[in-house]
Amino acid sequence: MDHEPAQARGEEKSHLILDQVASIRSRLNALALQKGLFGGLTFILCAAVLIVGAAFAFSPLTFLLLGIGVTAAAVAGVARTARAAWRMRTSNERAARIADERAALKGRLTTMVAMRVEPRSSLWPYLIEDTLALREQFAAAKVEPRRLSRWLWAALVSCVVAVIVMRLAYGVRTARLGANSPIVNAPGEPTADLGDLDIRPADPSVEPGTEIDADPATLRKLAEKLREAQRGGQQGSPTSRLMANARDAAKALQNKLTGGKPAEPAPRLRLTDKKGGSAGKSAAESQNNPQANGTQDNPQNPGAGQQSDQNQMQPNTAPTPGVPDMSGLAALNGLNNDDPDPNGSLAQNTPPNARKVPPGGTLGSGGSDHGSGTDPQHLYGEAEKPPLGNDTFKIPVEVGPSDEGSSNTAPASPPQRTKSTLNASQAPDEPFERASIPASDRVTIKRVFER
Amino acid sequence: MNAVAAAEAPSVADFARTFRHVQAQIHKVIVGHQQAVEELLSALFAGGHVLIEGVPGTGKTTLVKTLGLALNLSFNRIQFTVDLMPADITGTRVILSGEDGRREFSFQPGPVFCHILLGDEINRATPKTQSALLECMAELQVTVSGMTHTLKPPYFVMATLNPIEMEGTYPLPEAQLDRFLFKVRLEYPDEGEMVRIVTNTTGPEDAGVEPIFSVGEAAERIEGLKRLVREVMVAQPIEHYAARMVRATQPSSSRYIGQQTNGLRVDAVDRYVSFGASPRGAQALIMGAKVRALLDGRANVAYEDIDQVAPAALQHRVMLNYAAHSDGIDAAHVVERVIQAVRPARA
Repeated sequence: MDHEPAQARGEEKSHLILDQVASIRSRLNALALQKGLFGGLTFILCAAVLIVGAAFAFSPLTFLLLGIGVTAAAVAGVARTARAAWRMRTSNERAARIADERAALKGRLTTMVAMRVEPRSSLWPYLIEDTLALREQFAAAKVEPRRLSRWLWAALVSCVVAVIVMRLAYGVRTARLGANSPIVNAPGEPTADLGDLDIRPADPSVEPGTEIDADPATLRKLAEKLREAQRGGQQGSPTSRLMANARDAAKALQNKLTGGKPAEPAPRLRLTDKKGGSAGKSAAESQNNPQANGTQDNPQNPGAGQQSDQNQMQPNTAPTPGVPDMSGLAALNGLNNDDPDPNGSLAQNTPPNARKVPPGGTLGSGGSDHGSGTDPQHLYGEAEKPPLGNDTFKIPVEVGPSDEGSSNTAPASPPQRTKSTLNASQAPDEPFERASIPASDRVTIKRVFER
Repeated sequence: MNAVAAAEAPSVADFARTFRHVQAQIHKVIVGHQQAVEELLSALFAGGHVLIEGVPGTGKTTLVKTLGLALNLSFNRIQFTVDLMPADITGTRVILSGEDGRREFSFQPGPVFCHILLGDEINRATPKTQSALLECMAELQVTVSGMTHTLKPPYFVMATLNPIEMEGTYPLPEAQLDRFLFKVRLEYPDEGEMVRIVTNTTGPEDAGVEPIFSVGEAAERIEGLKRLVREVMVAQPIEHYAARMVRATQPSSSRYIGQQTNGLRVDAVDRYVSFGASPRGAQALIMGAKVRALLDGRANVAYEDIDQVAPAALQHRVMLNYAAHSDGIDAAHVVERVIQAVRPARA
């Protein structure tokens, strides 16, 4: 009769012991989890700090190599820490074994956990009592005093370092971004050798950034020259091109991190709308948009539609892929007879009535503002707007006066304005100062003028 | 009946008390050799037999004799010689004359019929005579002329080996060595121990050894303690630990370990061992560890118990090759390396 209560008490005691083992297990697993999380975080933060620091300290290629190395090391570190944390995970058996070792219990807990399901020995009650007497020795706090993993402190330190570095980097980056603002320092423009092109400035008063006009073939050549100038540094073997691309990517990332001077944008020839209809659109967009190209009647811009109709009669007017459509410039280049391209004679082939300004249209002839491209018939007439569509090229090209002529007949630039001193018989081209009329002569002068 | 048996069953404390009592009685006569005496008693309570190795004059015979006196068990001694025959130790059928004058064959028991048997210098007998002990040691019985005679438990064989004077000796075959639970070394005594030995043995009175048990209850009490040893619990990880240790004594090149890889390679084993311990080695480890656990007041075996009994349980089961002999490496060195290799792998 006493056997069952004794057995129940034994069960209760064994549960007490096993619960304590479970609490040890929970603590060890929590530490393993913390190690995985904080260890991974530490590696990631350290890698980020190193990469940001390297962005400020090293050249793009060194930064690229260092970044790859640091990233690989961080990935390896995270993987290693995760693996170690996974291996640290603890079962009841392992927790009992660890408690046995740390509390010098000589296998008591290991035996209890291993044989709890089927205790076949008559010494089982003795083992329970013996182990229970040592219960304080294997309290969870004694077996594993730490609740927080050491990796937590590593993660905190790395967080502090990361915050400091990021703040410093942010400050430097902001300063550099201000210094590299487009207002302060406009990005440089690509240069290309234009020696074999026939380009004339639209306005004799040549200024940097002046809009220039040329025949479509010239403009195509110009666009090609600009593209070649753009990819001038990318020629070479595939390996060198790959290296150049990698360096560019590293440079771009470095600039993002440090706020350095961004890479110069790729030069593009684009169609602009003087009316603002399609300004800002790229050449490709312009090609895809018939309204922007003037290839379709535009109710708001009948001139462009008219121009488009004229263009449709011309051969070889289809735009080359990658090359902007320059048909809209054809009327401007009427005086350029060097180019046999039919687009170049478009203005001369156009009937006079087609050049009248329709109500609300934008069609117009040249004027004094139109330089060498102006029709002589309209020199003294009412100033008309050029017979253009609403599209034209805006090409940022550095242009300046030069003695070299692009052809044998015409000078490349207008003669310079010179000032010389007046001789004795010359007078400045200015009105004489009005003199006052004497009072005695006023009546006589009035009488003469009334007569 | 069961309640009575349970009441009479010895407890863990009884075991340790009895063990220490016997030990103290032995040390009244035997000076030093604490570890050897403890291993000897461990083998007795584990139900095994012991091979004692020591130079002459180190008290091998005295030790065994004292043990018999302390336990109050029957004790016999056989001096093995080259001309000793199996029948000399197991007994034989002889013709006896009855009171009526009739003559008939009767079995005359040999010296193996006792509780504690000392086989002195067992390596001087021929293998045929040595193997006569196998049946006694393993099965506690003797078969003579087709008749099987049972030996009364407890039965404890202690054989001594003289490591010098190897000429004309017959080294024990591996099969017979494997039947000894432990191999105990009796080291040469130091100066202090030598003085005590001289003092105790040259005086007018011999040291009196008091029997622990009475003649009638000695065998039953010892058998009860042996049953208690078997009740000690061993967790599965510790059994794996013992098995791993035994497997580590096998060289990785051994053709007897089969396709299954050893899992743990020990350089000293690969270089110096031709054949390692058998599964009996694992049994010896566990049984010896159980005794040690009871001595420590525990009902469970710990890893430390396995480590402590490993040298005594494995040394004589490791067969060294010629490289070991040429390099002066003994089995104790190899077993120590095995323990060091296995210890970190406690899992």
